[in-house]
Amino acid sequence: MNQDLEKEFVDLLNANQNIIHKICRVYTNNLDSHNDLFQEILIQLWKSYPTYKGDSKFSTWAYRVSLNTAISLFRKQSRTIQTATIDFSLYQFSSQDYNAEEEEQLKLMYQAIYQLNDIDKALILLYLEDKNYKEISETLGISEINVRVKMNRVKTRLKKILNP
Amino acid sequence: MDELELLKNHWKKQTDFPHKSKSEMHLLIRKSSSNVLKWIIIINILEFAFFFLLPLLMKVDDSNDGYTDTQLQIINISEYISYAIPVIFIVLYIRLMRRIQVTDTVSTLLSNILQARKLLNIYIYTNIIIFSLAIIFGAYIGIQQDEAFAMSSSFGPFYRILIITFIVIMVLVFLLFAWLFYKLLYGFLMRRLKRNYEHLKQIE
Repeated sequence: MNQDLEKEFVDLLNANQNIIHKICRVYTNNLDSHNDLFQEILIQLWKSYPTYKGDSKFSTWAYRVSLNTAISLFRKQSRTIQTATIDFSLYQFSSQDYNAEEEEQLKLMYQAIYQLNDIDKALILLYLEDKNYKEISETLGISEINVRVKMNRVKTRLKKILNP
Repeated sequence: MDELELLKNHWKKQTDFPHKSKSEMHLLIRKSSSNVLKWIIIINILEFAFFFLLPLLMKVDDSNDGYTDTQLQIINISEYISYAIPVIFIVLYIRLMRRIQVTDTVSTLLSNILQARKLLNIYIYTNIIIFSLAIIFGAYIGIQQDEAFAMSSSFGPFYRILIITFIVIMVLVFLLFAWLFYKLLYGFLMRRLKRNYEHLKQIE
C-alpha cells in the first residue's frame, strides 16, 4: 500500500483515536491490555482500509471493525496478569466536575460495565456514544426490537447495582 | 442527576487516554497481528498438512504381494479417497475463509468463523473414521497374511479374541487422544467466540 494511503489513514485515525481508546477502555482493565487491544484494532483497521469506500462516516466504519476486533479477534496476552477489577489510576475524575460521591458512583458503574459479557458491553458502549437503535442493530447484526429490549435490561441491571 | 446520565456525561468528556502520536501509529500498523483468527488458521493448516501426510507415512508396504484382488481394489480406492478428501475440504475451507470480514456485523463475523471451524471439525472426524477403518482393515489383512498367526490359531479362539480386543483398544485410545487434543486446543481458542455467539443468539 502506498505512502499516501497510509498517511491519509493515519490522519483519519488520529482524528478518531478517542473512539478506539473508548472501546479499549470497556474491554480491558489495565494499561498493557489497553495498548495491546489498541494495536490489534489499528492493524485490523489498516488491513481493512482498502475496503472502506467512504460512503459511511469513517467513525461508523471504524466502530464496527474495532468492536469486531475486541469481541471476536483479540487474544489477551499472557504476560498481563488478569484481574477482575479496573485499574482506576488511568482515569481522571476532575474534582471541579464531580464530587466524591459521584466519583464513587462512576467507578462502580465502570466496574459493573467491565463485568458485563462482551455483547452487553458493546450495547452499553454504543448507548453511551448516542448511537441510535438502527445503527446498533446494524453493527451487532441483531434486530432493532431486540436491541431495544436488551438495552433496557442492561440499563436496569446497571441501575440496580447502584441502588440495590 | 440520573446515574446513567452521569456516566454518559463523564464518558463523553473523557480525554485521559494513552494517546498515540501519528509516528507511533505508523509504527503500530506495521506490527504483526496476534489475533485468535490467525492462530486458528495456523492450526487449520497444520491439521490439513497432518492428515494429508499421514497416509504417506503409514504407507510402509508398497508391494502387492499377498493381497487378494478385492483387497487391492479397496486399497486403490481408499488411496484416491485419501487424496480427494483434503482437496474437497481445502476448497470449501478457502471459500468459507474468504467470507470472514472484520467489516461485517458482529453476528455475521462470529457465525462465519464458527462455520469455518465446524467444517474443520467435519474434516477431522471424517479422517478419524477413515483412519480407524484403515487400522481395522490393515489389521485384518495382517492377521490373514501372518503365517505365525495362522499357526497359532490352532491354540483356539482365545488368542484370536485377544488380538482383536487389542486392536479395538488401540483404535479407541487413538480416538480418545485425538478427541482430548482438540477439546483442549480449541476449547482455549474458541471458548470466547462461542460464548459471544451464544449471547447474541439469546438476544434474538
